[in-house]
Amino acid sequence: MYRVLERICSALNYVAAAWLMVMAIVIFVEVVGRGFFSAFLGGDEIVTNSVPAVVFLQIPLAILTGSMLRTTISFDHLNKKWRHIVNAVSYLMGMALMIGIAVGGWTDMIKGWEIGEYQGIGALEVPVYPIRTIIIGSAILITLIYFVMLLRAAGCNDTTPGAQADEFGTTEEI
Amino acid sequence: MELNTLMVLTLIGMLVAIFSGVHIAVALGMTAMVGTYFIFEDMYLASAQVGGAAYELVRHYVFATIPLFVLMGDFVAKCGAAGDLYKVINRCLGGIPGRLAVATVTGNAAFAAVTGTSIASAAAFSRIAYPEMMRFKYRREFALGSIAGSACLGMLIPPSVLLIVWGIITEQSIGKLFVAGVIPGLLLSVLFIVYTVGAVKIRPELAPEIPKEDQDPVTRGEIVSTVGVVAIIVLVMGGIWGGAFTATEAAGIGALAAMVLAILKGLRWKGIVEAVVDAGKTSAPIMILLVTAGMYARFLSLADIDTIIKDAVGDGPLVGLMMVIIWIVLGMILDSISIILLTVPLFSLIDIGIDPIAFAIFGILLIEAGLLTPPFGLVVYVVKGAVPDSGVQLGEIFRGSIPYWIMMLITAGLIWVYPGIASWLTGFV
Repeated sequence: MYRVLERICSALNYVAAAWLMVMAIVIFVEVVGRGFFSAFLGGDEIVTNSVPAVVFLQIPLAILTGSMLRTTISFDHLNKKWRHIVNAVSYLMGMALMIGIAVGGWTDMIKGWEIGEYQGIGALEVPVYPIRTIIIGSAILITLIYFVMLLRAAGCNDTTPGAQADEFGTTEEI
Repeated sequence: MELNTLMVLTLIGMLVAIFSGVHIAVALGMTAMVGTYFIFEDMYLASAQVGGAAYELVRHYVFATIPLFVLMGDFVAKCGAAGDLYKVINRCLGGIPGRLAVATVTGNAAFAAVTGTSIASAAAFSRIAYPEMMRFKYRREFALGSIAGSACLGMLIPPSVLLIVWGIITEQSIGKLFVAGVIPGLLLSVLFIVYTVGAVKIRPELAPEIPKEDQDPVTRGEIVSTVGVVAIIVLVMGGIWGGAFTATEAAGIGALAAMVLAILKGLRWKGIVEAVVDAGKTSAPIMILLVTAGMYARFLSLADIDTIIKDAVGDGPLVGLMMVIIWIVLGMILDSISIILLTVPLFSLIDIGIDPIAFAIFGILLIEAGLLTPPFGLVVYVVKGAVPDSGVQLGEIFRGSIPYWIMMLITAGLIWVYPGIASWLTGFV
């Protein structure tokens, strides 16, 4: 199960990477269009709506690879069993939050599909229901990831990188 | 439940969760959801708050700056430009005392202008500058201090992820904040250089002089890197300053320019994909933190936090001192972005009689100073992990960083007394 999740998350991360490059290119085209041809192509709508999609495509892998920011100031002083307990609580809270996001955003997503919701006026109209769908889909996937990690923590078999504090014994940072 | 009581209880709950080791983003989001539930006593409304926020909060043009500036930095770092820059600067410095350490500071300042984070600089210069300084028998503590200390410039000299996050939270112009970081960043770099040269003048044994014949000649590739980095700095900062680009446009164009430089330096398809994927791994945790911190901020406004804070603490310089202490203490145990997200929404409500732009630079300097202080100074741990020498002790890096820490506090103090250091240039944007 864990391997399958890893593959899915990795694939989503590649999609996000390609999307990010497309955003950079859209910005470039927009600036060139404006500077040389005084043309407004509406690229900012694409960029604006891409941000949450890219973020939610990237988060599953960030969680799976233990890149989420945390402080280990007291965690470092716990024994192995308590570390698993803290991790389990963290994963449970993560599940609850993601279920909240999925449930809370569900109605808007369905409505978006029904009415073909879009953003932008004139130059470019960007459909936003796919963005809502990516967020809800990602929230459901993250719930599943946290659930698998919770099972591992409950069996004292949590091998997520950073689950036993990283080698520096402190918060991860950019 | 009374709103005041709810605020205090949720704050305590959140801090307990964070300091136990729960993912900070999760702790913030859960506090928002639970807190909203207690205000409305309706579970669906609480989940609608976080569900709606997940879609709306980062759906803004300006948020694209973070992944794009991180990508720009990753391209520049991956193609080896930092090492080339270091060598060229080193050659240009001639016979200046403590030349390799001065080149580390200058190289870091230049590298900071094309990358948004401190950690990338700390890791890069640990691998590049440390072996060079050891080759010429520099005192280890002195060498390590110069690497860790000057890496902090990354967060102050634009483009800086911290400035972007600060701008987003306080709804200030990111372009103006970038410009405001320029003079304090240069001032701090000058202070670092003056200290390095002065220390070597007083104690020459810290950094023995390098014989002329031991200097490697500058190669064509190194010149290409240096010119490329300078061109990117001019393009990004010049574009923002001259009003040609917004911060987001500068980030997009900067990322593409950095990719061109990386290709010129020999980076191929595999390396490019690696850089883009790595940039995602760095920016995703920051972005989700922004999403959940936004959820928390929405909960705070639902709870009418403005009135609660203003009634509870009042205004004035004494409150300013309290903020300073909180930032320095938190700086020792939490990462900079989390500190900004936890404190700035509250602190920015309090009027301590300083220009908001200068206040941002002042705050970032103090939070950054925490990266060098024990027990959890993050840059110090990164340097320890990255230097190719397993004999290096954490204590040595901490001791070597003390002068740099003091200079950061001095700069913060100067900005407090003369806010114009930060805000003056913004008048020309």
